[in-house]
Amino acid sequence: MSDTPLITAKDLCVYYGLGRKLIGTTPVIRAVEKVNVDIPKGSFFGLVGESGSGKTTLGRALLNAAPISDGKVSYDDGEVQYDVASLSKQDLKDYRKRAQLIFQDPYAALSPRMTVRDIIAEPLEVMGLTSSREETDEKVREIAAKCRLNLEHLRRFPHAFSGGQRQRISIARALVSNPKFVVADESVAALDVSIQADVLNLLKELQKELGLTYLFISHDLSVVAHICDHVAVMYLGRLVESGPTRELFNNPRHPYTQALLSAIPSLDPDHRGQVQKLEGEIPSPADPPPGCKFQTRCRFATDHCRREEPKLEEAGPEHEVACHRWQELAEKEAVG
Amino acid sequence: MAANTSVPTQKAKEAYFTASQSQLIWARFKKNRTAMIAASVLVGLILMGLFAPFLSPYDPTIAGRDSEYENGAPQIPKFCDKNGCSIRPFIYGVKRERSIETNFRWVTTVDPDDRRYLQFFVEGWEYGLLGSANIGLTFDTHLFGADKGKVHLFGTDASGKDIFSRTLHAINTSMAVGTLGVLISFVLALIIGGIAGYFGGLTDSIIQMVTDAVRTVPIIPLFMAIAAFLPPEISSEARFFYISLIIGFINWPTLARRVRTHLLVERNQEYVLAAQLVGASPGHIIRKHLLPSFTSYIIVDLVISFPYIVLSETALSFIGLGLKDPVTSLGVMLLNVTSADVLLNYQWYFIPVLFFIALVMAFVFVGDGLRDAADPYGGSKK
Amino acid sequence: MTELLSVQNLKLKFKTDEGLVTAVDGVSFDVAPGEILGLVGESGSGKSVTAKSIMQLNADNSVYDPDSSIKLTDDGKTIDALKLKGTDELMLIRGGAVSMIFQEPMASFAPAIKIGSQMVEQLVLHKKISEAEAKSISIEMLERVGISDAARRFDQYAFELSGGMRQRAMIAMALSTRPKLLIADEPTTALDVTIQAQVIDLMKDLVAEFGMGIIFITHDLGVIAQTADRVAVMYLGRLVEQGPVRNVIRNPAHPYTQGLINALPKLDDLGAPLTPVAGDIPSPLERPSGCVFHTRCPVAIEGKCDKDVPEMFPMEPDHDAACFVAAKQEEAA
Repeated sequence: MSDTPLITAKDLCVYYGLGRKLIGTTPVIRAVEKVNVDIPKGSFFGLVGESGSGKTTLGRALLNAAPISDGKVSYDDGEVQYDVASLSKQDLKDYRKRAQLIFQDPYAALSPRMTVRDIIAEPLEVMGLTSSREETDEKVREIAAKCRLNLEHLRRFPHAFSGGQRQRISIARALVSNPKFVVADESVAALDVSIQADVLNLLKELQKELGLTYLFISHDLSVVAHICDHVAVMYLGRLVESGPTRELFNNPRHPYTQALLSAIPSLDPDHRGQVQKLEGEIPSPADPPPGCKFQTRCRFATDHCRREEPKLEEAGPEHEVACHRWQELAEKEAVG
Repeated sequence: MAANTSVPTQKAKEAYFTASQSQLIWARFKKNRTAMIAASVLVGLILMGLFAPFLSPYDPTIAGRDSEYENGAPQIPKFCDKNGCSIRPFIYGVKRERSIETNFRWVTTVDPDDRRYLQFFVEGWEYGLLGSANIGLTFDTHLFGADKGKVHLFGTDASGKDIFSRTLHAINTSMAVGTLGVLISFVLALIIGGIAGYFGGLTDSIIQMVTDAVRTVPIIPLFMAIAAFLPPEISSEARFFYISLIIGFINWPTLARRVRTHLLVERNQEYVLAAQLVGASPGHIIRKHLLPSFTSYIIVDLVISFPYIVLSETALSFIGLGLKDPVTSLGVMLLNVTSADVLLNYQWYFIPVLFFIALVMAFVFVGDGLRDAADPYGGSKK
Repeated sequence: MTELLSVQNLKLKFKTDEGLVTAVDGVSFDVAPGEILGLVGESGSGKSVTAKSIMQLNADNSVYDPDSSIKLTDDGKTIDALKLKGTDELMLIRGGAVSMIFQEPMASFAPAIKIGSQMVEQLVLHKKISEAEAKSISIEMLERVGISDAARRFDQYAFELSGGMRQRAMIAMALSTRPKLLIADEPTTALDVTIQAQVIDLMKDLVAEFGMGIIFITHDLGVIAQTADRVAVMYLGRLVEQGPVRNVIRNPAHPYTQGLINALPKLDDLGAPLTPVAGDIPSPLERPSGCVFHTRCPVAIEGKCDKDVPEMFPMEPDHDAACFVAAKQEEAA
């Protein structure tokens, strides 16, 4: 894509202090460490990883909702350009209109004391995007209709709705300010399978209609594979592999991506036990292993991996992987 | 199908779906029979307290004493007796005498031929209602009285004060002390708990330390110490105010802790983050999200803490450190029933105790009912 | 074959402020020893409630229909789980013949009691053995489920373990009493895929080793395909389809099962559009009449499916579905 990406993160780091101690230094959690991503305009960008991989933190950092410790995040939608890490108050206000978040839990994300109309209208009122109640109502009805909400239900309170409907309300709230960039954080994880596809289709439709760019965060590779055009895999705060969806799923290069893919339970009952299982669990981000962060669970780890952290390398068209041995392993696979 | 009978109509459902938090709480509260009974008792008691001067026939202070009827038994109005019936209720007149035959003790004898009819809306001592005396508005109509002599529904005490009138005024006083105490502790709790909960971190730790320190102070010795500081010559009104103040200052930590917990929980809810992400100011978030999210809980907390504050006042007055005559509070009334003489001869002194128990129980039940009702998502059904 | 568990016509309602709410409506299924029965359904389908009925763990406001029966055969003796009264009798089932593991393992370990003490306590209670014996069984069991350094973990608290370890510890605790039936309620839902794969492997190994029956509750058909021998699909408190896992997943007969399978994103065909099951799950307060699924069913027959409740029609040997349309097609074929 010749266009400038909508979001560019360069060496983005997010560190959290762990608790507050009166004396001594506080341990630091490196939730996101030196991450580089370009999210092209109009893309459905998937971010995959297990819990504790830092994917949520990365998503929030891009929205200026998590402290950016180091590095740079730029936003460029053709109209305005922002350096997200250092926004002035006025710019931040404007950025909030342009970049929004859809939450995971449709139950916690909606204030139980507000009607659906008030929930969707809140961004408009807070941002001062409308001048009269009529105009607000007009916009609320417009976006609610787009999100396939029953307009007669706008007077209701969230407790009247099922998970799928709540998620549609949540989407309507995120989109009412007409943003360009939307981070969807595990937005279908809490939904039932039969509803999940419905919400995914809605997200896709809205993307076409409103020209949105998504960062779609998920732990579910099969969902990501279906909806995203580009996928990045995170492990312990690092990007370990990224590439166009088909390329990545057909030729996964990083042993972690391979393990993730093979761990997805297959729908074929006869396809049992033919998967390479990953032993152990993701280490605590407060105490990461030296070298490659994945070495503790990697079958192919060598001393080199334990000493030195690999950098992202080109592994194909737009396909990058952070593994010392990817070439060697790929050749072996091609032979065997 | 049996389930059909339980399916609500479309209209009822829509009402349920569009019901706000407070409407849901009220709907649930209404279904709790104990709480509803307690609530009506409570409303009754509060009204009795508020309109005490109108309802009570005589001044509860020494000014309203009936020197003809000291330590008098309750007089129960009748409609019929051996002399026939009357539409207007009546009581009997009494004669008091002491002679060598009674070992020179005062003995009262009821004279069944001396009928005294009850009158309604009679004129009596002047009073103000709900503070109207301050703007010069006074009344002198009372709900009832006797055509001659005086009527004492709950009897009289040693100095001839009408226990019925005193009880009503005592409810008023105790509720006033309670309200003032709750208000003071509520304001303190909201500020202190609010700061701790909203800012968290080190501020929270320090405030929690102070709160815990205050909570560990034993109450009775503290009361005694403070009461000792109150100069004995201050007016009863000032004393009343000080007592409320002390009670308020003692009771805030529990409430503050609850406010803090509510805030800490709610502050991390995703919908608060959602509001922050649209650029809402802290003021907006507190007003639109945090406060509404726990007002119902705070109201419940207030109702639940109310009886404890009434109890504190009562306990304080009971051990003689709180309010004193001529102010009548439930604690003062309780103080009067401590002698063996009362137990043996003047059991009607205990009538205010019944009111006291009813008041505390009503508050507890209403508070319990509200607490259950305030959590509509608690007993979730699958 | 003698069945280990036989649930017949289970009907359960909850008394609520809004009236009696039907949670389970006429569910029947059997579990044989050494068999894994997958119980699939979305939230509100009554799958957890059904499983909890077996151990009588449902809330006090539950009302069982008098015709319901849950029979458990243990060493030749048959226990009717719904007739048990009092703690002593219930102990035959709870933690005795039946154990349960939950979605959130943190919730099933008391936070302030060491994992080991908790395991020993229940063993001593159920098996009437000495504490020393119980301890050695517990440590052995922890090792068996793949917890390294079991003797040290024995003296730890639940919060000191990671999510996967906790789930393993819970499985160890549930199996240490050697139950005949294990109920696993969404045991892998809260876990990451890589850990989920480990836990699924472990459970399959354990069945092979101990020969107990398992009721595996989940909403994830992929997990079912990988674990279960038989599948029972539930929707709004009714069983809509039941059969061997291959038949049900390859030839789903009920439109709901078909919808569920179509709604799943498949990895082998990334370009395929996702087809959701139309509409939303009705609230339990507004149960549809007739076939409970007719409000979302693409092939519902008007005047039939919204009036009559379909019974279970046989499709293939041992494969039943509660659908008029499927039954007609089967007849025609």
